[in-house]
Amino acid sequence: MGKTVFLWGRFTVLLVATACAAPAATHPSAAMPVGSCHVMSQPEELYALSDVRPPVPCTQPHQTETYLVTQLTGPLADTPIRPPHELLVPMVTAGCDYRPIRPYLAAGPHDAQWGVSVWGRVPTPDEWAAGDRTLRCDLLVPTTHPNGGPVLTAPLRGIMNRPESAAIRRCNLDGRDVQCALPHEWEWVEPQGLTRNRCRANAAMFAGRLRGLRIRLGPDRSCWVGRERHHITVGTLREGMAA
Amino acid sequence: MTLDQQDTGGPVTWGDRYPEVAGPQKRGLARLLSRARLGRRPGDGPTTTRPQKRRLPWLPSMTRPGTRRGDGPTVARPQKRRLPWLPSMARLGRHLAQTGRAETEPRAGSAPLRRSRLIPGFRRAGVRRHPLVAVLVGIGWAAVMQVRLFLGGHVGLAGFGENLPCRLGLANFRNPALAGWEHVQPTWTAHAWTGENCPPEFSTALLAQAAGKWLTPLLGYPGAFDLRALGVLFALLVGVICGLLVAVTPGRPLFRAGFASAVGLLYADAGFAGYLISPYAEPTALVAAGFLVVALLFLWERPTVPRVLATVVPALLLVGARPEYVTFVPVIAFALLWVRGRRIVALMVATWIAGLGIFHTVTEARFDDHKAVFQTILHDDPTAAADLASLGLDPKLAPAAGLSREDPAWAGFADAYHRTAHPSPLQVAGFYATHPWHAVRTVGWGFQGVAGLRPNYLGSYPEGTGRPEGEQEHRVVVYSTVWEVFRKGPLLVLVLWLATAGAGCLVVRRRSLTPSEKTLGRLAVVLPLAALAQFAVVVLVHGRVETVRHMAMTSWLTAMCVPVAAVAVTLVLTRLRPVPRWQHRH
Repeated sequence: MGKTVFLWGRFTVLLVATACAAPAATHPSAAMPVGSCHVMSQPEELYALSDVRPPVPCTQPHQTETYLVTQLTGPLADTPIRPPHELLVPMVTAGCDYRPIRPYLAAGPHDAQWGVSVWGRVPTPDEWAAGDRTLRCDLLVPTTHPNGGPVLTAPLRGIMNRPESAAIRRCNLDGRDVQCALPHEWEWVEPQGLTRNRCRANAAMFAGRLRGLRIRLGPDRSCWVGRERHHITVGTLREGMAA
Repeated sequence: MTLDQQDTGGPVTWGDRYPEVAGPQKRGLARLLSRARLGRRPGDGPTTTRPQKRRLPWLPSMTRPGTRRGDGPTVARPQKRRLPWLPSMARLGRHLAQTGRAETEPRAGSAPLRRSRLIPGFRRAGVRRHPLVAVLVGIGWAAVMQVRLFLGGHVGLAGFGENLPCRLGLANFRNPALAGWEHVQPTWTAHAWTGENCPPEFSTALLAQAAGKWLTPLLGYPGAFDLRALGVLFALLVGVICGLLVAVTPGRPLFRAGFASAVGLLYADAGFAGYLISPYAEPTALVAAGFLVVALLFLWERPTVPRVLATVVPALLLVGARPEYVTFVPVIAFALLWVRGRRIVALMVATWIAGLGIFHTVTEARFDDHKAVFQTILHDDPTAAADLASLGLDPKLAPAAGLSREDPAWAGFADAYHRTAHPSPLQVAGFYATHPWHAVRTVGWGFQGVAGLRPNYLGSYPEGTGRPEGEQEHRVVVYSTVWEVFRKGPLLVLVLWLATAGAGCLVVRRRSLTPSEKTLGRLAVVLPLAALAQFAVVVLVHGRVETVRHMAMTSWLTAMCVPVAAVAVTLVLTRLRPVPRWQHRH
């Protein structure tokens, strides 16, 4: 019987040892620089408060990119134990200033970023207890595929000057908003609430031309530009980036 | 042999009921030691008789080659030659087996026959196992479970918010557009988790999931781990449980097969079968509970060290599956100590289980007083401010009564809640003790949770099968149909517990029943105890938040009460008069 128990015990240990994954390497929250890209492929990772996975090169598939690193302040930041989620969310929302976003993306007056959201990351409970109050503000790219999660393979820093910006530009197909990286008919031009003539002028400045293009004013006076009628395209019409 | 010895499940003879040889009986450890010196097992029969001494010295050894020493002589060919009028030993063996007389009676003037395996049809402990029936029933229920889970497309239970397999380096491969409750998402892929994304959670369910991970490529499923592999494994184990139940249950083969099938039907019911293909810890606990029932019946039949130790593995798997299952520690300890003779070993095993349970509670239990207070006690509570003060919380939080953490209105109270003292489970229990109306309300929600049987918001079908989101399967609904009674009157759950325990007590106390039959009485007592303890902890910790899902184990134990209570009542009603021992069928 003793031998049987020993064999079963050995089998169990082997089973667990082979099944359990080795702990993944971590990276301190305070050591994530601006411009670093992060993989958060699982919903649990996206909705977690902290992220200590080592950053990846921004040319590899990733979900978020850090555009701001700052410090948490206020009474709650003085607590030795990390506050719960419902208290941290307002702190993160207030701490992640939106104003650096457009300069970070190199967005001009007629460039409208779309689908990009801000996700804050705070230190882990252990890091918090050690005195770290770093607040990392990330930009989350929009979802490209209807049944897939968000993913990008290019850096967001200065993306509005590159054709990859189609991933964060707003377009429209049959009345439905989509990324310009997906098939579409119309592309949005900033700003909105304009007259038709002003929209035509902005579209000309946006695309660098008007020949072969049409403009349309939406119900909310938004300005849209597109190619000839019922022409479905992929990519952006922005000057110098159009295919 | 005394009545105490009868309770150990040892062979009982006519002379035990009406002792003819009254010798001094040692009790407890002294009795064990004296038996150990004699080289005998407790329950082997009266110690006052030493067959070896009474054996006729001139008889040649009749131990066949290969038999164990100490089994004693058999009365075989030499006697047959000398006494041709004696019935053949084969016929004698069949007769003994039919009459259930495990040992011949030490009547005056006759040499006692010791138990021997040489006599065909003879069983050592006087309990027949019916191995063929057991194997057939086991294979049958394993097949039924496989068919029930996989024929016509697999079904399971959507693992909404459950990420336990992440401890094995796995992540659920699912449609990110779905929240998780809509469909079963069986495939898990390898993933390197970091930080707090995968909490350091310990559960014995990880052992089963590790086995499923190992089986996944062997069964040809995609990904690093597929819940369907887990379903195959658990379905086979349910078959093993049913087969073992046939072996350890007393009675005729048909009765045994019927009782085991009632248990198999419980696992196959739509209320529980879905868990077998899910990432939750419940399936491991439910299957371990089935093995524990088998082990306890086996132990109560005749307490020996191997049988006590046989309870260890299922008990540890059960207790370690979820923090709430720590309630099984005192119940299992009670069940282990409810034996005569092997209390030292039983105490040792109980200590191990208690150690694991305490470890689990200390390291894993995260009591969320928000659920217990704001979403349960303060739900529709006209005296919220006073109750908050009674709990040691700020009465200014009264307007937050009933709000969940996800409610936008909660944000205004989050800071004050964070800065206030939080009550412990004991304080909440004390509150219920001093506020009986609140206790009645919460217990009522608990019974509604048990009556719910299975969460109605978790889908059973995989994505892409054309089934609507959240649709549930109804392939086997025997217990689910019976549960309609409890849905109409949730308090009937309490009635079932009391009736089962009462019938169990009557079975245990009835002298006309055999020790083997009394094991079912003990089970009928232990099951409601376990259900009650589990019910109390779930009500205290989770209150009215996801009560149905948290009550899964309580519901299973309650459902087990149905066949066990039926058997216990049958035993009580059919054995109103004492029956001579030699007429008992084991």
